Amino acid sequence: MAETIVKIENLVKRYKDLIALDHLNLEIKQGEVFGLLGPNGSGKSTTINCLLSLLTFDKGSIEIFGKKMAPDNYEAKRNIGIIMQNVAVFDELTVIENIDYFCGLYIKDKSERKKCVQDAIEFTELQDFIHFYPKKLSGGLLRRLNIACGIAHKPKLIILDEPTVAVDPQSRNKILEGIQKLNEEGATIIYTSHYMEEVEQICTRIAIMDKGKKIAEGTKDELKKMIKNTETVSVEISEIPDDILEKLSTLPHVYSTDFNNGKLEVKCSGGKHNLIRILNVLQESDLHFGRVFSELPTLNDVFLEITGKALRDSD
Amino acid sequence: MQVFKAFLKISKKNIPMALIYVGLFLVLLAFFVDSNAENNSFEAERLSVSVIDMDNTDASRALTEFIGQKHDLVEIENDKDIILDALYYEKIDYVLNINRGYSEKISNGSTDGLFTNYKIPDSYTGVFIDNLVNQYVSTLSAYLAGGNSFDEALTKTEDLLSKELPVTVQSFSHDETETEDYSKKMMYYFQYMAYIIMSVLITILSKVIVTVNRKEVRSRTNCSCITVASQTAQIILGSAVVVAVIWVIFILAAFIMNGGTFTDKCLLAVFNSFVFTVVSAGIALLIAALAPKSDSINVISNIVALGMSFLCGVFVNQSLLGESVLSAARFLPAYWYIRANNMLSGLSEEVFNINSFMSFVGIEAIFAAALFAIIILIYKVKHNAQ
Ligand SMILES: Nc1ncnc2c1ncn2[C@@H]1O[C@H](COP(=O)(O)OP(=O)(O)O)[C@@H](O)[C@H]1O
Ligand SMILES: [Mg+2]
Repeated sequence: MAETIVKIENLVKRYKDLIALDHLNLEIKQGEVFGLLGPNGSGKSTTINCLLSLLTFDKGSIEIFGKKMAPDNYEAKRNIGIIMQNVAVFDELTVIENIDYFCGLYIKDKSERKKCVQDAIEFTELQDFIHFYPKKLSGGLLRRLNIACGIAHKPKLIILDEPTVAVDPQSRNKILEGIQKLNEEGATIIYTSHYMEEVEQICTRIAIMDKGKKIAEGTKDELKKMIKNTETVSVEISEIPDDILEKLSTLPHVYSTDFNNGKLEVKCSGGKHNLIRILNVLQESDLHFGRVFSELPTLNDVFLEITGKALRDSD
Repeated sequence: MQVFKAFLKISKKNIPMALIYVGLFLVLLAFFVDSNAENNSFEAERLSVSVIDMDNTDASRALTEFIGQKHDLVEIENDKDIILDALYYEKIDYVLNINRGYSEKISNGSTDGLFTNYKIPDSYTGVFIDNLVNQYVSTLSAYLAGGNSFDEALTKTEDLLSKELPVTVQSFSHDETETEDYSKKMMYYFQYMAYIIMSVLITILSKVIVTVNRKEVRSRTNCSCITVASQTAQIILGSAVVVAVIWVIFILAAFIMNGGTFTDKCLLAVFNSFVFTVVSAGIALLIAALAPKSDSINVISNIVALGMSFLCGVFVNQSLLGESVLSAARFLPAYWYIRANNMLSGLSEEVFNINSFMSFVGIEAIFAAALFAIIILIYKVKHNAQ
């Protein structure tokens, strides 16, 4: 069994009347890419800030690398790389000066630091921009700078809080690939996001949060198995009589049908030939339809089933 | 020392903005030193003065004549109402009543109760003639005390005062040798330095502090191995270095301008400027502690530095500011800096006296201490609020 890197037990954090974290438990092991998925305001950043001792909390305990986390646990801090949700760089310093500053907070030796800074620049592919000021960088480049500043000292545990907000798809992919590469090189990753696709793409284990509570946890496959949905069939169709809709809902394995804005959505739980059975019903009734999709459940379905609302709603 | 190094780096990047103020400083200096040369020839502007000679002696007639050389003598009836009316309607600028016994008192070395004056309160013209008369009397007394006969003293006084163009407003004790080690140029340099040091420090220091204290960056730095105490210490050290460097640059420039020497009074002026620089640093840090955003600092810098400079007599001599302005200005540190500087230069009615000079500087130091206490308090409150 891999070593436990982070252990959060019964964490409670209140902001006056608001309970931002409600008895949260998390355990993150060496080598994982751990995803913290939840809509905005679900408490992801609050969790991270408590983890880093930037915030005090009302109840619970946090251990990192087997020791209690505290503002003066510098041993732990030395081995953590943090990429904040809000870009934390000096506007007055250039890209390379910024990376050097943040790297220098951990690494005193000049030549060693120089090498680390160079590695971080290459890793984030910022070579062409080292003398740029942050204000002159695009959203994607700025995020990459934020990441470079967080990883330059080669930490064992890297925490990224929504590192891809306001980033173009190309930069986003680069960032995600980079994170996986860091993980392959041995770093344990904590990754928060409200984009389920990202979390699904890179995370080995995922905790889904809502309103300060952890509502589910597991690998993406485990999470998907938790819910009854196994397949969602969508059909583009201009109109559908109520009796046909009724007929569809009585098909085996179908547990929900919905028609809205020219789109029929049929949710199935188990079974093998759901798509064919559905299309057969439509054909028998002589209905014309357009494109047809059959999708496996997404994390959004998981979220939807547990909370009754879509992850996306809160975007 | 990462934080310290970044502090200095960021400070350096604010230099171009600060240079704008320095440029302004040089322009101001050139302009004011120049216009002050003209200020002397302000004497050429003749005021209307009425002299009522109740003494009617050689001495009093000589004084009347002396004033007549410099200004227009206007006849006026010795009636209080008429005099006040004339002053009110600006028909005359000043009425000097030479009291009976003037000649006798002067020769006995007394300068009390020589005159009864009517003037427009707090007016420039009033101060102007006051000083002219004071200068005359003090010079005359000095010659008399020096063992000259009355006639000799009168002639020498007239000679001296008509020959040279004295500084417009001079102190009683003004003595020619004193200005030599503290030239007018230096005096103005240090006077305008009050404005420039405030502007430059607010521009550089406040901005850097706001930058390094930005919440995101501070939190990020707090995640590292650097202790909060060490961060704070490095920021304080950085501030001290920035303040010291700026001050030294200005003092070096003054040193060069003064021909490579600093003696007695110049050294006191340097000391005064040092204490005021510390006060300015306090102001800059206070602004940084309160300023919402780095962008607003330029505006705040202008309001604070310009406002204080105007009120405290950096741009306009304190002797020309109204009594009400001055009494308000007393609550501002720049007032004491300028007052001390004026005293050094003899550009005030205050006679130079090392004890009062030091007490003015001491008041500046108290302001500095108060500012730093407030700053510490603000950070404590902010810290607890988190
Ligand atoms: N400093 C604060 N004061 C009061 N409420 C806060 C503060 N920071 C966050 N919150 C609230 O706590 C909840 C969780 O916020 P956050 O952890 O930032 O969520 P997330 O990172 O998942 O978007 C939100 O409802 C937010 O409004
Ligand atoms: Mg967040």
